[in-house]
Amino acid sequence: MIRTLASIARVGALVALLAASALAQADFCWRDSSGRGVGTIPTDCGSKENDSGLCYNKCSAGYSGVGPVCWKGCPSGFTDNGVGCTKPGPYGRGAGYPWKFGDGLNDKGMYSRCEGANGRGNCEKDGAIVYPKCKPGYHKVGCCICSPDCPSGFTDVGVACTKPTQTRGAGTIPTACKGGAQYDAGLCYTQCKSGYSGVGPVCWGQCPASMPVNCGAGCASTSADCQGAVRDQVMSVVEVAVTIATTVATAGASTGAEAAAGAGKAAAETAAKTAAKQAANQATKSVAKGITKAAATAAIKDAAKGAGVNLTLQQIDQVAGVAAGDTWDPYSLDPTGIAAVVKAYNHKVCKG
Amino acid sequence: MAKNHAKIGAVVLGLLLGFVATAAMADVNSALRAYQSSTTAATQVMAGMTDANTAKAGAQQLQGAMAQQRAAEQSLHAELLKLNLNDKNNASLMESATAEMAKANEQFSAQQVRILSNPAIGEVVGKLFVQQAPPTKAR
Repeated sequence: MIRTLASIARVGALVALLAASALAQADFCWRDSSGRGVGTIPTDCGSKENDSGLCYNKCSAGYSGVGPVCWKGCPSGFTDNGVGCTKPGPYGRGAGYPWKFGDGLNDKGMYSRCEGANGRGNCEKDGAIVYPKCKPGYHKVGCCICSPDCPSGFTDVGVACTKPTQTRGAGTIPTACKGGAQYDAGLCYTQCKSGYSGVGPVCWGQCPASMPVNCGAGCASTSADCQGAVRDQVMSVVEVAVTIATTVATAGASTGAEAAAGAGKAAAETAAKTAAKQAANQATKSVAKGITKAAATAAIKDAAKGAGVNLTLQQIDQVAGVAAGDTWDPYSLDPTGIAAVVKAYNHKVCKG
Repeated sequence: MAKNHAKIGAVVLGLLLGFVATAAMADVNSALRAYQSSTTAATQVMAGMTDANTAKAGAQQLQGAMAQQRAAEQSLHAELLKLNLNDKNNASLMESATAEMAKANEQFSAQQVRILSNPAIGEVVGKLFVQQAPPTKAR
């Protein structure tokens, strides 16, 4: 008995699937679609500058940006060490020209000897001794050494010059795409071909004139058709979920509780499927009009044979009658609800 | 009698001037020794800096040594200005003192150049050298 019921269920599912796949509803169609690859992170900052994935205002001339900070560049001959510029080496300016016996009561003798060796106006006194001045671009450090000057705005720290900085505001996430790619929801995608519009990684065709109502992934003749199609799709999935849930809930029950559990399962299934059946009845009426009872009988026999199931003539006649237009729910033959899902999603792709 | 008084006065004045000059020479010698000592100390501290770690270890000591050296330089310079260069001994002292200064400075600045030419050391202690030199005064 159990084997027979299971067989009927399998055949019923086949019939329902055949009916659903043979007759797609005419008031709804799936929009044509094509993938356009995974999106890439936008990197184009337009007039701003991309640094580590964020857009910042460009730095002033002579400055280069690292994150939100602009650092002044190092002059020629200096070595960039990040926060500063390491100077070229300093040089000593010798022991100088100390006062000598016979120089008189002033510094003239020291200056005279120094300028004699280094040129007029090229000497200066530091402490008690006259030294040659540092060459251009250098300044004296202590008495006796000449260190390279830091450029204007830099801070001299002896061996290096600390760079001046400017802030350029917080970075912003890029929202422009390079190479004509399309920005959508934070990512860049290749442009869709003409007549298609992109939503994320998918290009969707436009709705044809015969089904002008945009219905998400599909098109419908009217708003009501759109709502009906969406409701069928949702309800069919709910029905399968209910079937799975009730099956799992009762599978581990003890033998003594099987009867009660079975009743509970049946009640749950009945309640959950009611809405789907109502819609299925309506669909079946219109679907069945085009099928003769003889054709349905032949199809059922073939399906039963293919499935290895023996059905009585009465069973075949009942199913065939239903398939030919009797008021009955063919999808009730499928206890899993999967056929209803197929039916709900079985629509043609829009054309034109 | 009046001539005797004048002679006595001249002798006393000469003694006083001689005493002042001798005292000034003593002060210069003392200041020069202090300058040489502080300069040598700072030079030795710098000579011990061979890398960043030794520079960090000796930075505080060098800062103190250089402060002493600058103070000693100012003191020596002030004493040199007091010398009477018309006096042969004072003039001779002036010559030798400035020559000694130059000699000490040369060794000192050689170490400064070495340190400022080595970024690893210079980044640690180079900023200690960026100080205003003592103001120069014309005689």
